[in-house]
Amino acid sequence: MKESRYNTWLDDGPTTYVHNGFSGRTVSMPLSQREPTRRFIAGDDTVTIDPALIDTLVDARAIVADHADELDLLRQRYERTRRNRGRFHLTIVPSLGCDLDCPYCFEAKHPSLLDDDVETSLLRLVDQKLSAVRSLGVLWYGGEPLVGLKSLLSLSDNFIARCSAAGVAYAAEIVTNGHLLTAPTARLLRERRVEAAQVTIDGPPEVHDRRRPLAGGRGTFEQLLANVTAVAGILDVTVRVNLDTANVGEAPRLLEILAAAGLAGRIGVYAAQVVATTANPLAPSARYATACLSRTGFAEAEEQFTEAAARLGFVTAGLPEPTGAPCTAVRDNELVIGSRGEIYKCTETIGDPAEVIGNLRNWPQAGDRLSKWLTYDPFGDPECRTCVALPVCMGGCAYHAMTSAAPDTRCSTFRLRTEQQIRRVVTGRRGPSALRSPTAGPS
Amino acid sequence: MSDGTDTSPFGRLAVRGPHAQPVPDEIGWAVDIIVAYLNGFTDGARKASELQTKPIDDDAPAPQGLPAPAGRSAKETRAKVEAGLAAMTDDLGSSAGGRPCTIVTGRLVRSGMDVVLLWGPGAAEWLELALKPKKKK
Ligand code: SF4
Repeated sequence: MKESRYNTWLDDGPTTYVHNGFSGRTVSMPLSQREPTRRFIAGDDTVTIDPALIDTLVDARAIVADHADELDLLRQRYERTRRNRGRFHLTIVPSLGCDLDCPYCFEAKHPSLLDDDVETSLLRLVDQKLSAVRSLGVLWYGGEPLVGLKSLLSLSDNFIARCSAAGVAYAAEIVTNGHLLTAPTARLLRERRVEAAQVTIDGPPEVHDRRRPLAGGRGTFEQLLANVTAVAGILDVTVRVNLDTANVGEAPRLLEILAAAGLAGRIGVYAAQVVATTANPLAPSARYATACLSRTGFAEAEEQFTEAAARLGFVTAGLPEPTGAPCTAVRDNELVIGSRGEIYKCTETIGDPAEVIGNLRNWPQAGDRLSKWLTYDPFGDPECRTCVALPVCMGGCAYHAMTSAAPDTRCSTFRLRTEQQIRRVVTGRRGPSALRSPTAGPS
Repeated sequence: MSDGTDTSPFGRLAVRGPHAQPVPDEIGWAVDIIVAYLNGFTDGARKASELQTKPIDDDAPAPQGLPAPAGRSAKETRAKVEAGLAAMTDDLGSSAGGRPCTIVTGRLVRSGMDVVLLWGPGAAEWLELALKPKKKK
């Protein structure tokens, strides 16, 4: 037997914890058991150990067989997930146009609604797939998806009817700026099996309104707060807070405002990093001058944000859970559909003509530009191969790995603050898994 | 196939191999899905098991301090653990190198039926032999 390479040990008063990234489990033991246990795993049979504890460590995969190749097992897990043909997932942009004008947006947007022709082609694609899958998942995305509500509702009705006829499970989520997410709209979405909504609020009113104004310049904070409060019981709402040096200090005040509005315990919150991507020169982010945080700086800010949110009673991020393949971009059976029927693999490339990989009109055909995504291989990367975060990150953001000037923006913050994140969870401020992994997204 | 939130319907799974011939995509995919399912991974994300969501302290063994090792010495514990680990890796196919596989079997607990996927050189002959009623001497 040997110790898993994905173990992290930490002491907290009279207790020692072992977290295993491969299984996602954490085992606790009396501090006095730490050394005997480690010596036993290393081969010493003279120590007095607790057999029940050893069994628990085996169950949690903290102890593995001598010949176990955990890296190879992870590679198999990655490949299985990447090639899972039982599930078809679409990220759909009903409207590339957006009613907000955020200076850091990474999409080159223009007014464009998903029209009847695209809807017909999309339904044809779904019809082709349904006989071979057991679930269809949809993420409504933008631009701003609620600007294209008409096609969103009509496509939802069609998806639900077709899935039900084919015996295929259907579920949907939405990433929205939240400005149009009123209670009646949320009910329409819920009736169409949209279960969760991600809305972005970037700080207290004056901070948020500077960063996320309407296209005409008017602020959106008050409307957003009213909307989130009204829809929190209809959809599972998660508020995302995009952090950079311009607003990082204001996040605690935002959390207090949300708590004062009675939202603690009713919504989830999490922090995300603003990353300057210059890959698409047409996107506003290419001209966004405010300094972004370094990945390390963001990881620290995220930790503080999460602790503050937990103290106020918000559902917030637990430890990252083991995953198969990180996102739509690297999975075979997942596509991003633009409002004009153009197809992408990565949500961050929406609106970038250079990143279009095909079109619904004639999908699939030889020459579709999938290979750069489907050959992304974290197991060929020396950093990933030796990284403690690999089971929960699996190579992170492929797009950032390929394009970012600061490639570590692809990385899970678990890599940078492993012990601190585990300590936060084990010291009991909150349990793991309370917030679903947030959907990546700009809004 | 379940969505992964209920308990595994399979009572038993064995993956034997490897052999030299690559498994065709479709067979490999079916194997992968079953193995992935048993590993608790579906749709790309591990669903939180009861063990993950219960308070972490529940994982702690009951005794505090250095207990008398409930009838098992370190040596006996090692032997038991090593045997368990060997069986575990066989079942998950990892010690056999995962894919390519020759046989995957599973027993559906609810219906009491066996599920068998068989692939490899001589598979049909092997199956025929295995299923042939034995002559009584
Ligand atoms: S954290 Fe970074 S180095 Fe580690 S697995 Fe993820 S992408 Fe690779």
